Amino acid sequence: MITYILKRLMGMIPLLLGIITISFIVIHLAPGKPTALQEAMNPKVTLQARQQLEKLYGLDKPLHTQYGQWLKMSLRFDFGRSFIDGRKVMEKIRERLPLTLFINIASLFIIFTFGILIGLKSASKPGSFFDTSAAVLTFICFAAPGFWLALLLKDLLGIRLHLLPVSGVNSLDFEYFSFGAKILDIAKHLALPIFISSVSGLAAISRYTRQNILEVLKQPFIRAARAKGLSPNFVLIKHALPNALLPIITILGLSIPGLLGGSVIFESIFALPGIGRLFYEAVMARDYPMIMAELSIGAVLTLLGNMAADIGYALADPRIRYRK
Amino acid sequence: MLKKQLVIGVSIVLILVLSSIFAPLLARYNPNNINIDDALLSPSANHFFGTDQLGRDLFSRMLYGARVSLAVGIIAVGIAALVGLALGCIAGFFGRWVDTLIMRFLDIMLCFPVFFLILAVISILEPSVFNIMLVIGLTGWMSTARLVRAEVLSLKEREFILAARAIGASNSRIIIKHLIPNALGPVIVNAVLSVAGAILLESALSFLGLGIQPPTASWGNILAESKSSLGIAWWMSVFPGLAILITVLSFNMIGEGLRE
Amino acid sequence: MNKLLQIKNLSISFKNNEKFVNAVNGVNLDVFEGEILALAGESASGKTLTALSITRLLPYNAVINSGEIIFNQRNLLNSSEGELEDIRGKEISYIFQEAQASLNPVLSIGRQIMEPIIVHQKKTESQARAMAVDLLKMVKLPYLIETFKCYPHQLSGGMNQRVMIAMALASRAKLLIADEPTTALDVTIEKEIIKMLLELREEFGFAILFITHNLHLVEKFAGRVAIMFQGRIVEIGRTSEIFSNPQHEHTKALIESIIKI
Repeated sequence: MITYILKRLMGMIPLLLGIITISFIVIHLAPGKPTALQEAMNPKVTLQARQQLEKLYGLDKPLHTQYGQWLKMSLRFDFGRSFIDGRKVMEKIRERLPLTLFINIASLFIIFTFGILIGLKSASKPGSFFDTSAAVLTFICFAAPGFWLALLLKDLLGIRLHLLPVSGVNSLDFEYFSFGAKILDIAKHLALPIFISSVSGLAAISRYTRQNILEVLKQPFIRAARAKGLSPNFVLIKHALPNALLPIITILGLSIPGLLGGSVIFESIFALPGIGRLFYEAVMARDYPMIMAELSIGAVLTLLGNMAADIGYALADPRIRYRK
Repeated sequence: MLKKQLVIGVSIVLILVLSSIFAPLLARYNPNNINIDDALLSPSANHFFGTDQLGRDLFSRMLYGARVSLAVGIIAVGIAALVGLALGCIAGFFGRWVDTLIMRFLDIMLCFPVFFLILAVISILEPSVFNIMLVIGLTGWMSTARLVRAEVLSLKEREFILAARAIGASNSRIIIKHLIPNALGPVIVNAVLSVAGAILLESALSFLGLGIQPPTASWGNILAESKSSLGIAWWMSVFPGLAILITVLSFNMIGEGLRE
Repeated sequence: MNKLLQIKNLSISFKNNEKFVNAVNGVNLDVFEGEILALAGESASGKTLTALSITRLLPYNAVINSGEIIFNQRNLLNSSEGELEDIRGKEISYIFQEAQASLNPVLSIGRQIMEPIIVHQKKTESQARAMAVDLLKMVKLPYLIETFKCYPHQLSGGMNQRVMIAMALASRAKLLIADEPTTALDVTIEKEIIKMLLELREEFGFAILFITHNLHLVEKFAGRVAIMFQGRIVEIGRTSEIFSNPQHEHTKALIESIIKI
């Protein structure tokens, strides 16, 4: 098992190098010197910004030196200073990361607990009223653009009904609140963003769980378990569910990039100071050091998520845990 | 049940395609015609879907927006399918180091949050319709490549391929004449489902102001404009969103229907 | 001898592409206490469906059209699901062809043996654990404690089949339905398993309904045999009589085919 984990970790090294290389290519996407093109395309990039870029990435030096410099920057997680305010990029990311992580972890929690429960209930009686309505609802939720749902709910719950605040993490007079009121205030602000960023994942996981369980229920060991005199519910929960959940562990790792991408949209709709909004602001202002930093960190987070999922799968599945 | 799904999906998509082709005939107003006196009118017989804050007719803008959404979705997926087909075939057919190299590249691409990558690239290139199609296409080929590779790996050992090889058919002939046609089925299903994803991506980009640039109408940028009249003009946020929802739903229905 | 189980006029049909196909037609079969009755026939002759229908374990697309299955003076076809659960694994047990596929890959062997003990005999965890270890010993599995913690993929096919037998006999069932229990195994392992089944039957006195396509085994092993062909029982009687004097054409063909080999 330990050798398996070590092997997986070693396997990360070429992927990490690949990520760094592709980011490097992104910087150089524009034909010729990227800085020259930027000037022609976008008057927003001033002479000063151009010189900053050249200095930061060594764009006036030969390509291999540039690559070396980018490699060194990436490995040290030192992506230079933001063009917007001259602050260190990593410092700004570090400030903003906790909120995004909190929202994403909360969504993952909702997606997986409720997704699995809905899938389980659907699979327990295929074709039942619950199953059919869940099927229709998930099909629609899966197709609905999240940002549109966000707009509609913001309009309805926030602006028309005044039930929930529509932007930011806390109210203006937050400081004067008691501890309990502070928690409640934050919860009210984050409820909608967390709900919205869970919708499509919830739809996907509940469908996936249902399908997996129905697939597992066809296996011979299910009939054998019933032949032992176990009740259908016992068989469903103790025998079918653990087998059906195994592949879902992998999905947990795969869902990270989607959530990060979604945070760009939801954080800008709800004016939340997370890394998604930071990325959006950077893209609008062509703040390259920030864009490149977030791109690389997003990829590394995804990579780590996949690794964690793989290792989690190996730990959960005895066929891998005790390989003959 | 599934047949019905397929029929409904295909009919809706057909209606959408036809109405976007004949948009100039169907639209009663010029989609970019500004008329401040008519700003923010609610839906009526004159303006089916109402007007926006510049007094432009929303129904006409959405007809023209359908063109953009469908074109971007379909062409981007076309690009992705071609790239995926080519790389998947090459990886599966030649195997060994070629396969390792391509699959590693694919793994690396999968590490990038697609939306981050697209936004980063768009921030460097300009957000033209062409660039958006290209970027969505070039970041979406991975699932097709995997599918095609798996298909080719299993086809490669089948008798008719071995027979073709035995009579001395060249590699390129085997790939084009035998492998690609046989691998096409799952690729098409995957492509139809991907169109739904690409339309969602385009609308999200446009919503953020990094996709189709105004005054060209797209469903995403109409929704972006609706942000400023939230609470005042419900029609500006409801109709374009419904259009995206229905379109995505129909492509998903076709994809699911074809899969069976 | 008393009748343990009576199958009367059983018909089962199978839904295939929206059409119902008759798979079992008017089968009558009695199983006596403690006997070994073989139900022999080619694949798709309806023998497995007949076996599964006894405790209503049929796949969802199979429907019982008519008949009665009498066990303990009760018609199992009218019994509730809860009543059947009390019979399955307690009074009537099954072992299946693919032992490894019939064991849950993510649960330990020990846990799976404990399950029917806890359900049927209302034992505590620790009592059930002790009984499960005893059962492993009874089916002659080595390294009891280690095997108890093993997962199915870590054991061989023969060992897994022993586990299945241990599980089936956990509550001293009166009828063991063995559906091709040795088909997936090597000949030497097959011999060991059959020998063990016979010894256990000596000890506990359960009856065996032995589903097989292998007439060699039937000849050596079964007291009586029923020959099934296209959903019907075409011939039934003492094994020695049927083998020496087969009446039905199909039985003759079957017996001839094994003599040739």
